[in-house]
Amino acid sequence: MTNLKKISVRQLCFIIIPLFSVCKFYVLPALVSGVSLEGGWTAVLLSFIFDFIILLASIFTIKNLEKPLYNSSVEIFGKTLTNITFILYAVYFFLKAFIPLVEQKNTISLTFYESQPTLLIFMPFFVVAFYIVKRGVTAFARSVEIIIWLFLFSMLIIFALSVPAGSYGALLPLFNSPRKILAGSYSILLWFGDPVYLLFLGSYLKSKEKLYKKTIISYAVAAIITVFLVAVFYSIFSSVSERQYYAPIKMSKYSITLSNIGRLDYLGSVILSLVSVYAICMPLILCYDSINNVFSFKGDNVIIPFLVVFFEAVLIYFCQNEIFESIKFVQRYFVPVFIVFAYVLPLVYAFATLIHKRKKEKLNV
Amino acid sequence: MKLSTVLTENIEKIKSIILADDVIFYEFTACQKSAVMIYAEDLSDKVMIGKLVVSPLQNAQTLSNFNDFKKVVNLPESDELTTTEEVVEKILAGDGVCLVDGIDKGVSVATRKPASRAVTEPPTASILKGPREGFVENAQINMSLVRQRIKTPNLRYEKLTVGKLSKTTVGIVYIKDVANQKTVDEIKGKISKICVDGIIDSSYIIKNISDKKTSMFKQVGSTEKPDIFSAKLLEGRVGIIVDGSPIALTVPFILLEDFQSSEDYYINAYRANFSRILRLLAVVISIMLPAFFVASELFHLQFIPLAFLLTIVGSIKGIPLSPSVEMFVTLLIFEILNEASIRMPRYVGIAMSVVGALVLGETAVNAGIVSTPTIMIIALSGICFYAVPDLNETLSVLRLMFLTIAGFMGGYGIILLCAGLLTYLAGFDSFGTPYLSPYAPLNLNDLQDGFIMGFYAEQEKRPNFLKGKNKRRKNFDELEKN
Amino acid sequence: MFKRAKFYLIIFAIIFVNFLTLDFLLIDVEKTALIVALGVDKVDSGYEVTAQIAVPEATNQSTKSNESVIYARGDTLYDAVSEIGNRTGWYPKLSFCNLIILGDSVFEENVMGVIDFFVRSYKVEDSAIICASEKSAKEVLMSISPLDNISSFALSKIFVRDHNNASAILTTSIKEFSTQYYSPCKSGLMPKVKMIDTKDKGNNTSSASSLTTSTGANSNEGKNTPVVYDAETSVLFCNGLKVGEISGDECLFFSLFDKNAKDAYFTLPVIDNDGNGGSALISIKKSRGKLSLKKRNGEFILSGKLKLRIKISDTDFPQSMKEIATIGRLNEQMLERAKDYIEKTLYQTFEKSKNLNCDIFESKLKLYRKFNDDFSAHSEKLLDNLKVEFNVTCQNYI
Repeated sequence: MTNLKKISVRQLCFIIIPLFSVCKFYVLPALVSGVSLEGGWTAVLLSFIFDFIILLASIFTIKNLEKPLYNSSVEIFGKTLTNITFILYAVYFFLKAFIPLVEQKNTISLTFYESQPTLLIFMPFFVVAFYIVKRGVTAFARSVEIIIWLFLFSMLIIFALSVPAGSYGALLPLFNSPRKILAGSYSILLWFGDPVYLLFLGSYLKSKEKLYKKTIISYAVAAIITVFLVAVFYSIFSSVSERQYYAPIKMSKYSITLSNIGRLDYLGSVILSLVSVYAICMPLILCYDSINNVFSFKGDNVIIPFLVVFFEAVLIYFCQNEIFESIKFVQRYFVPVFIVFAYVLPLVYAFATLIHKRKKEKLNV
Repeated sequence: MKLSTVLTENIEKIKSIILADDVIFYEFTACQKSAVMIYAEDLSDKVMIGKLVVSPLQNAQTLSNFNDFKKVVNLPESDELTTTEEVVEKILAGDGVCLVDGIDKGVSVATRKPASRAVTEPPTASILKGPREGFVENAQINMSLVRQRIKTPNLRYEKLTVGKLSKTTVGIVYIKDVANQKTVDEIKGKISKICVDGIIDSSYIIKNISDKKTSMFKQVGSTEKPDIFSAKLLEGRVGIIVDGSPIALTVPFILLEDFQSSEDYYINAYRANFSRILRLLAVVISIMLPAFFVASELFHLQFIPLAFLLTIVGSIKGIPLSPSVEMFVTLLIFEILNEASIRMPRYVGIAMSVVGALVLGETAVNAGIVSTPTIMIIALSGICFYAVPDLNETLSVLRLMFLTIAGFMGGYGIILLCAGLLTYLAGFDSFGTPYLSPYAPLNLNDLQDGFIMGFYAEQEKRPNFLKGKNKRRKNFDELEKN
Repeated sequence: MFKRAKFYLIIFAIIFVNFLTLDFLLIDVEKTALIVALGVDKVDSGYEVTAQIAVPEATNQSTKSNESVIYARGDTLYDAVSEIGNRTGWYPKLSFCNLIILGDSVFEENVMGVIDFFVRSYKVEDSAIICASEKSAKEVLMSISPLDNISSFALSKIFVRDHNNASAILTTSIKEFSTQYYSPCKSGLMPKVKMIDTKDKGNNTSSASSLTTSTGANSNEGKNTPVVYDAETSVLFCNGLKVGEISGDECLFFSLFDKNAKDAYFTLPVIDNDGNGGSALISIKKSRGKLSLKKRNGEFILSGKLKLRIKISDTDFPQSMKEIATIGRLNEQMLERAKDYIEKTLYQTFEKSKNLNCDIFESKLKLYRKFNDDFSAHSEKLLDNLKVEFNVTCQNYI
């Protein structure tokens, strides 16, 4: 790994809180409510619990690896296998950015712009994405340290306006149908699997002090915010929640306060869109990083970030008219691949790390 | 070229190098030997030369060798000169040089008396409470103003000469152990590498030592006030004083510094905090307001409350320009007025403001060229613009960028520009210090002097991001002796 | 440096040219019809949509309601709304539309056929208030009110006044109505707007007949009589079909289970000091209500509890100085009478809704939430088998 710059555990936590949750705010609440009804929030909680196992596995791997992930992987699995895995992970990260990207494009076009052709409006996103990807992990991690406060501010606006509008009886009966909850959890699988990011970001950590404690707390904060949002969302919309895509924009407009001061809720939504820009760029940065690891480019590379972002733009261009079909397509065919990369491989890494560590300890003895 | 023992020969050599009528060659006799006192007429103090050099030499008992010569002219800051180049350099720096026939060495005497204005309050940093002294164009006076405030032997002043032709004195000022030695070395390295013909002002230094030379963001702090300069040295920054410039520089520089005013430390902490938040708000309004207004008017009508929207629609009826172009033209007029009024003589400037604000604004609205809300938005943005004067240059460019992108893409353009700008600033370092410190990376100790500042009594440590060796301000850790 | 400057210059030039031309179907604010209210009427071939537009001319004092109204027809509601744009050349902006009025003709069919559009569309906010009209929606929007020169603004005032408090006007939004429709109750209600002629003070019923149905913006100027609006009656819906109505008092007492009263009024029939029949205007100053479904001995009971703090605001018979001086206190007999009156009205409301198979008390929803295991077995016949207990406690406010 060349040009390894450093991030702190706190920065990693600040990445987790806003970026692990914001991508789940737009389509997910409506989708999970359609399947699990009032048990939507339980389904989301369940998904977070599944992810938590991967989070623990990822932190275990990070904590026990002395070298960056790529170097350790080469040591354990050999160069060829590591290169193949990293290339596949690059593809995985590339595709992982697709759903949040589609969500952002639709949020922008349907809620902010009524009559403008959205592709022209949306395409400059890729210029900014290229810049963010090119600047790398350090600048990204530092930006998120500002973003997190904006994120919390926007959540404050959204919750302050939406929580009083909810009718919380709508969340009853609690834990009604485990089958529906599981089905709901399965339907939103593609929106989860974020802890694998930590596995790759872990290579950049300068210190691993209190890693478990801090990441688990921040992950819990992200989970609480998301689950709470889904619960409030369902309590507001109950039987019509399936139709309410782009939840943050929809749920906070019922406050009577807005009749006096105008649509303050849009401010929250605008800030969330800014946070989303970073959430989309995270997998793209890791995609670039994975490729960079394999090919060991020296210095600041421009071509790879450009290609990563360019192909993402091409993907959006071709899918722009069939966005929901594209999501369905991804849901239909991508889930097994997703499970392998988001759940299986991090566990494999954790086990391999454990075995490798024990072997080393034996050798030392 | 070595000086010879023959005085006339030496005079001829020096005259051939300095072809200037303002360099005086005052010849006199000392102990029956011919001697010459050479000095620049406007730079040196004639009385001092007469009293301290010429008169003692004329009354000297013996002057057979250089030791006798040196004994007579035994003054502080007097140097032994052996070449004509050294002689010329000293003369042009304002020193007087004395040569005696039969001695192949000369003596320079610090008789500099450069033209300098009095120490006054700088017009760019006037305050209600606090010291009113400002730096002047003389590096020595400036340094004396700093020394008045920091009287430790650890206050270091290292002189470098920069500029092949200007030979400008650039002083690096820092407190040993309080400042990070790495930063000091980096600055020294960068300044000594500067290879230009002349340094006319400290801004030349800024442009030469900045890491990102094309950036529109300041990477070096500047101040005209010795109290601010001293406070920054005490925090652990390194100062640069340039002879000929009333603006002293400090590094490393972070964005937050522009939001800090010296007065914040002299007044009540509550008011200071309120002022800082106001400054931040003013900057956001200044940059974003015209952009948001145009974006809302063009793309997102739903962002504007209906009653206000109806007012806007009413006022723009019949305006021939589109909202974005209207805003752009108004902004352009504002910038022209601004540019003109800064450079105008003060009495003409007042007239210009009246013409700009009343005649142009009122007439334009009445003529239906621009609308009232647009004038109001630009005026508000313009007022906010001056809440943080140090950021003016950057803000005006940013405002234009945001306005253009808002007119082109609407609110999403503003979001994207914010993301790009934030990433740019987050990845930006000034002499190894992150530009958005202490917020990104977050440093809890350094938040004590952030947008919300703590009480001065509770600010125990120096900023961590400056990475100095001596960290405590309260319950002070003694500095190491030299 | 110069190369980079050139690059920046080119980028800036591209953006700036776009900035100046704005040549991508941008709709100017001046070419936008800011629709503040929509009226929907059913016509033979589809729908007629009447849009009230807030334009500066329409909001100044000299402009009358009917000057700011545009209407168009279409096979579907979307079609009709688009037709507004085609007719005027303006882009119809619906995000400011806060009021949807459904004309009487709409209720002949499932009303969700109309409301669907508002749930489906991102262009109109589902927080908009929805109401029924006694006559056609167009007539309401074309009417002139002394309260505001834009009829929808005048009408909105009566809806937003007590939005968060219990009142006789059961303000409903599109979201609330559709939520009830798609819930297990499949029922809903919305306020019904009546126009009251301000010149015909004796007639408390609609005087909309005095209006001339307009087909052109200025055709009936000067003929319209100023009206005020009344929405104290609510229309009941079951499966999207209009099934009946409930009166103002029924609405008020029903709303007490959902919202707290701040200053709600009802008229209580009382007997005066001389033993004659009279009436007293009672003000509900504070209220606390709870409506719950209980299961007792295998039977479901809908239990409604109300705790009210009330006072007399006025009577139609003279009272003694002592009575007036007690700042509106009700005697025991009157308190009892008020309690009986409210309970009787609530039972009456329940019976009415039960007979219409309209579950406005949301008993099926409560069954689903609280007794989910019994839901499939009992939901069908719940209303028929449901026992109801209303327990009202009235206390003097001071």
